Amino acid sequence: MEKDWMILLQQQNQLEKVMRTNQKTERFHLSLTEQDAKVILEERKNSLSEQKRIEFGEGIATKIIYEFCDSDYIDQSNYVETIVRLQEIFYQYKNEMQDEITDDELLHLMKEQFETICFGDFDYLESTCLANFAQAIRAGYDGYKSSDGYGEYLKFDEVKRWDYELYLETLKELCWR
Amino acid sequence: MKYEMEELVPIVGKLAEKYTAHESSSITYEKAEQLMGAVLYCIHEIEEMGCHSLTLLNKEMSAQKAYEIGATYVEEKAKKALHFYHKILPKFDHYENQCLYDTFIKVLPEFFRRYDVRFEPQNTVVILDYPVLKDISAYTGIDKIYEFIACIRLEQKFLHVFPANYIINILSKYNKYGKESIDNISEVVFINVIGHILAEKSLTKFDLEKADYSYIQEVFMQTDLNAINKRLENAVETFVKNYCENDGELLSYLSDTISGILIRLKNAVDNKAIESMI
Repeated sequence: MEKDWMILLQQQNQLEKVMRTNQKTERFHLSLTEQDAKVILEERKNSLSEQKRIEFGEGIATKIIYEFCDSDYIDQSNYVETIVRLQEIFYQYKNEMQDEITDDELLHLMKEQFETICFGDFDYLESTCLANFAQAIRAGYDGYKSSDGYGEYLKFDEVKRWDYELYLETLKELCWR
Repeated sequence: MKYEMEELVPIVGKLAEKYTAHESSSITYEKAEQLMGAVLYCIHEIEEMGCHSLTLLNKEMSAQKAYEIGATYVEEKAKKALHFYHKILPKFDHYENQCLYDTFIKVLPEFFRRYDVRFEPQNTVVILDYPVLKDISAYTGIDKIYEFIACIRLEQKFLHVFPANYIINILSKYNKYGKESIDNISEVVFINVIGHILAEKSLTKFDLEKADYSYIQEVFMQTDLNAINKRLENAVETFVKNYCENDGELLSYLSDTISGILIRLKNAVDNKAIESMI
């Protein structure tokens, strides 16, 4: 009963808005049926409730769709599942980052890492990349405000990545030996 | 005044958008509750405004309108409280009482620095350790601070009637650790005034003597408490009229404490401990 008014606050018709994203995503060969949109919105409700958050206004589902629709790791077969998972991660990290980061900054950060570091791996995005970054934010880091969330992760990356020069050198040696 | 949740929720939604500066589409439950609290606080504030607003309410003012008017009123009240505070400050005297000094000089500025008039007006932000004579525990936010400052104004007006040394002597006689005590100092002084009235002794004579205490004891044993109460009310009225510019608010502030003080005095008389009270 106590939370009834919170339910009212987020009971806004977003179905139409989610369906409208098809206009843009179709050129990436992605589209949602009304049933898919309902699943996304239903899962959104569960994620919000799990993370003890309420959403107002346009909501995040459409923003996630627009941000990720050109991803190399999303196709029609995993489209709905991916959006649902990204929604979950998004709300979780809004909390973990103590609402210090805006929606756009977090989406830019997620997208960039999803594409270039995680190569489509949700678990890596969730439990490594975003976890590291959330820790930095909680410790007071705010550099993402000037970069709008772009190009941030490498500052906190603890893993030694590919050294491309060394890779090419080794490749040359192997091929031309 | 009652509004349905359906009317209040869109106001919270708009406030949430302002809170996040349109940069976030969701907030935590705690934040949503805080914002709903802010909306209800502002609407409630209209009830405090009196007849003019009630007339508006009778004309079925929308919740949005009620919130807007209430929010403006809260903002004005915060400004008024600050103005009020600055007005008291130059002549403020804590009479060596640390608790009064800390609360008025250190804590209140902190409140004005941190008070969030738009998104959390219901939060009092600070703890007011110094106990004023009026019960302000039901108030929160700026209402509580405003009432507190108003009480301090009245207390200072009352205390300024006496020389500072006189008050400091009374306080140290009442409690040798008076500087650190969290008693209301105007109540201590007021009890002393009451003692002088009951003993029919001039206030210019600081110490009450043994004979005075015996006289007070007699008064309590021979006179009905209601009659003493009445007598004291008249005496306090004359006191306020002569020394405090006939301030009606101060009269009511002091008069409200008489019955409580009388019960404590009666108890002290019954236990032959009146000297430790006055």
